[in-house]
Amino acid sequence: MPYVLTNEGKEFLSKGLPERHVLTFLRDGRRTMAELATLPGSAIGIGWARKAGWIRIIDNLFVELTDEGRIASGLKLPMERALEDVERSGETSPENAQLLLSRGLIRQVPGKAGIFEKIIPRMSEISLPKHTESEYAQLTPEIIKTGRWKEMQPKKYDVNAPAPQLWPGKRHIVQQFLEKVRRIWIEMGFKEMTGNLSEVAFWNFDALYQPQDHPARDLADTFYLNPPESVQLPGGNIVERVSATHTNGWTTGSTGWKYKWSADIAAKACLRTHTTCLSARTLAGLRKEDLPAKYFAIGRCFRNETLDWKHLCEFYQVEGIVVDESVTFRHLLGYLKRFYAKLGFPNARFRPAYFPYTEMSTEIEVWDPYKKVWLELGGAGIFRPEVVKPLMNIDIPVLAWGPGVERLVMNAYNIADIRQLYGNDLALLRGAKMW
Amino acid sequence: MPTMTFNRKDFCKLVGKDFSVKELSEKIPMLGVAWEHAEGDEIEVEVFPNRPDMLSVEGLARAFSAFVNIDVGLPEYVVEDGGYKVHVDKSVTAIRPYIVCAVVKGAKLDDTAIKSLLQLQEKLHASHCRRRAKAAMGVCDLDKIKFPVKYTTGAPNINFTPLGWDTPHPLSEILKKHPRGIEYGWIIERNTVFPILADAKDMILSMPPIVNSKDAAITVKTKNLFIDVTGTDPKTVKEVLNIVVTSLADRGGKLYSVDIDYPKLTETTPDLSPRIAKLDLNYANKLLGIKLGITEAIDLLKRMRFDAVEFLDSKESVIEVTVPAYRTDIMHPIDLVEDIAIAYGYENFKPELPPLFTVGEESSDEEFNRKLISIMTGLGFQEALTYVLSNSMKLFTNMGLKEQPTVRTVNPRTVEFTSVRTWLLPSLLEALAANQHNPFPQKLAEIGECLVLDNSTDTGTRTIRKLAAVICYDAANLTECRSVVNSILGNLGLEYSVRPTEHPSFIPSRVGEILINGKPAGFFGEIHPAVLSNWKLEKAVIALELDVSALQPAR
Repeated sequence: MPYVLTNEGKEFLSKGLPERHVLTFLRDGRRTMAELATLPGSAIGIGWARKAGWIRIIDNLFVELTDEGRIASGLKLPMERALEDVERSGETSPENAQLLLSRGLIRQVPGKAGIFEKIIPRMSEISLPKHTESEYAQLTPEIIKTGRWKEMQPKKYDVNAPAPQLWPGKRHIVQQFLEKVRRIWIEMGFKEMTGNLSEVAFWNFDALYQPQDHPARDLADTFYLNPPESVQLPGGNIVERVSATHTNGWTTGSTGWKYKWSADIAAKACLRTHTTCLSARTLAGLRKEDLPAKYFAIGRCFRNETLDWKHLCEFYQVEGIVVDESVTFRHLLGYLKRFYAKLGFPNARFRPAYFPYTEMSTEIEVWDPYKKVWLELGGAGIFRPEVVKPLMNIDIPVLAWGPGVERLVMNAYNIADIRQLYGNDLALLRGAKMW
Repeated sequence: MPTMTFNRKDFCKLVGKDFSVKELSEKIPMLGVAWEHAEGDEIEVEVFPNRPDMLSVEGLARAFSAFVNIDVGLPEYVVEDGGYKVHVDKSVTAIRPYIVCAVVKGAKLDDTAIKSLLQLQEKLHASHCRRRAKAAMGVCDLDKIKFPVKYTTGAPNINFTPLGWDTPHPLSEILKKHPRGIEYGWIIERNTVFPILADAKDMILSMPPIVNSKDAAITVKTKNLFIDVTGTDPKTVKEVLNIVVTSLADRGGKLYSVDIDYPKLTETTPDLSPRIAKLDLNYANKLLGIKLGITEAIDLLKRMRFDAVEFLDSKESVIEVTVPAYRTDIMHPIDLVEDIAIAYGYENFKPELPPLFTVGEESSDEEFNRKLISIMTGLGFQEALTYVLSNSMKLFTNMGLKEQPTVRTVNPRTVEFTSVRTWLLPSLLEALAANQHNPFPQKLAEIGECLVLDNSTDTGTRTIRKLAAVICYDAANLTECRSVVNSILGNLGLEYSVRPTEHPSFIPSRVGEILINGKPAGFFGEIHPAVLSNWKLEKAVIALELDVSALQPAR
């Protein structure tokens, strides 16, 4: 017997299930029970969310999402799908039907099983077309060739009949986004850089004027390797220049960090912690006649983290540099603003930040017009003379940026748990709209 | 990065004007301090590591007050000659050679001030002092101490009562059992004697950088302070002392100097004399893309707590800038340029694009990747995205292979990430394993980076790109797999041959090696049931893996 939605079922379908309201409300963090009580149907919502293990109640005072709940908040819930099924086809799985009946969201209606089956042939009938002298079901070559269709009527089909689900082969949501990013930088005249996943600490840190006792260089933050443990410093006098710059500023006009620089620490092998090492290598290879130069990179980077819903050990970074005597801080903001406008975020703002290798340094935020929030996207700046001069042997402004991408993808697909980006859940990927 | 909490009312009192939480949340970030959150009047901010002087509410208020144009220019600090003496014994030279000290009298040490001082100490220790290794500070009640004080070393069996304990214990025990000893013992434990600070009556004041003594500890009744900073880096100890004493001076404390008698020379600390730096205004204007006049620039510098005057030299545009002693980050004129930019307001810079003509260019690798993945998606594969980090269980054991050399991580915080993958197929089987509840057939493909050891490169490794694809459902078989292989290679216009091979991950006789120009380029076949059960897969899987470089036309 088919089902139809009750009035309550219809309301929930259009306005959302009470447990959905609870999940959405708690996505940004812990709330009090009193706050939660202001939601429509809160008691029911809390009940179901609790039963499903999505929320935990602390001291009868606060409520927060569990890991499960965080994941659920970004997905279509089984009950939501079941409501849609009933609305569309009058059917759903027996278990779902049982639950929806018990919640009073659907009821059974009299009628023969499957109103559609009266009108529409089943799949088996489609593959074995049956037709009478006066009516055709599946068109066959014979009917077409002989022209018999002229004397026949088509058997009536329902255009709204349920159809089997198809899943097109498509690119991963993160890769779709990265392709878009790549296209934008190329459109803006940037050349792509690529490089190795593992790096010499020298290129990852020292060449970027990061002092050797900088906390980011700790074992706790960086993946050091063994094997390979100790690798090759570059030839020429670049190592001397970088070492002198750290120690006393060399000829950059800086005081330097004032410590004893160690070649052993610089020769350690590590997984690159940012794509900025690609920019360092590129700068070291640039000659004056190559200018103006604009480069970008999109690359996997690594941080020694404990994997959880907020932290990944691997992530993508979008790197860019512009090298020319004429470039200014306003140009830096100009490139970033145009880039994010092309990505669909025309509203960008900048505030002061700190990175050891840039000065000015800025943090980029863009306005999400749908969610009405500012999204923090990462850093940019002008490379310090202590970075540029040892690498290029000239003091020239280099605009540089390296924002992350995961945040924007999560935002676009309502993903609350960052691990889902690399979880390859087909329910998520098959259902995700194209970027 | 370190965070700092403060009370709005206390902050506004120090600033000299009242601001609402909302106003502060808008203005403080533009000064270069990240806003974390506020609960009522309790505010938490994140201080960037280049500005340890803003790790105290006093330091932040000092900077903010100028930023919003209330109290601008160089703050003046007077250090009176105190005549206090600290003798440095040569035995500390090899362990922790540097000490700087100061005396602060009459600071109003109410709860708020003590809380701020302790917070500043803790945050400086964690960040600028590199977890006390580079520098560590101690605070004692001046009136409990008899001068001259000695900075020397003590044998492990010397006793004193550390803060937090009630009875005297030997240094060796404090190092091993006191909570601070457990946390920071590593800094000095390899020595046979340990640094101590003791007064003229041999009362131990502290065991730097571990813990202070209870005997000279500050209490709510304390009026006058003796502050010491010991360490291994002469620059850092001075910076820390300057930051701490200027914060206390902002609370009304009067500063007195201490003479540090090293075996061969004497130094008087704290030294709060400002430094002079020169800034060419043309350099600043050129980099910022704005046109500031000299008066305007001087005004902006004063709003960042510098003093600035026009330098009357041949060039008109040079500004002489006086940098306060607590600013540890001014290494280069560029640092002054940034401060001008902050005072000018990042929001006031008009973004613009420069007229620089360059030709854009995609990397040839990425261009080829895109070709390849479009064939795969055309064949109905969903692209997967998997981790490069893995472990030998996943890469070899689960795949029926013997362990092979890989690039290995030394100290992963996520224990399953001990190796960097050398091939891609295990990642896709793992992805299938996570999808057993979803409808079949499932078709996944990925072009992914792998890393192999290679001592011919400067990094000791080489990144290689692989294409892998899997199909999982009840009827997956070798023929379908061969069709996919034919389709990929055919669409790339490649001539290839397939020869039977053996591979422990695949069913015997159902695995083929793909040869392009006679060279191995990959393999395909039906995954072995033993491998399937290792991954807890219950349906047949066919798979292929190809070296992308073998498919790609030579550049």
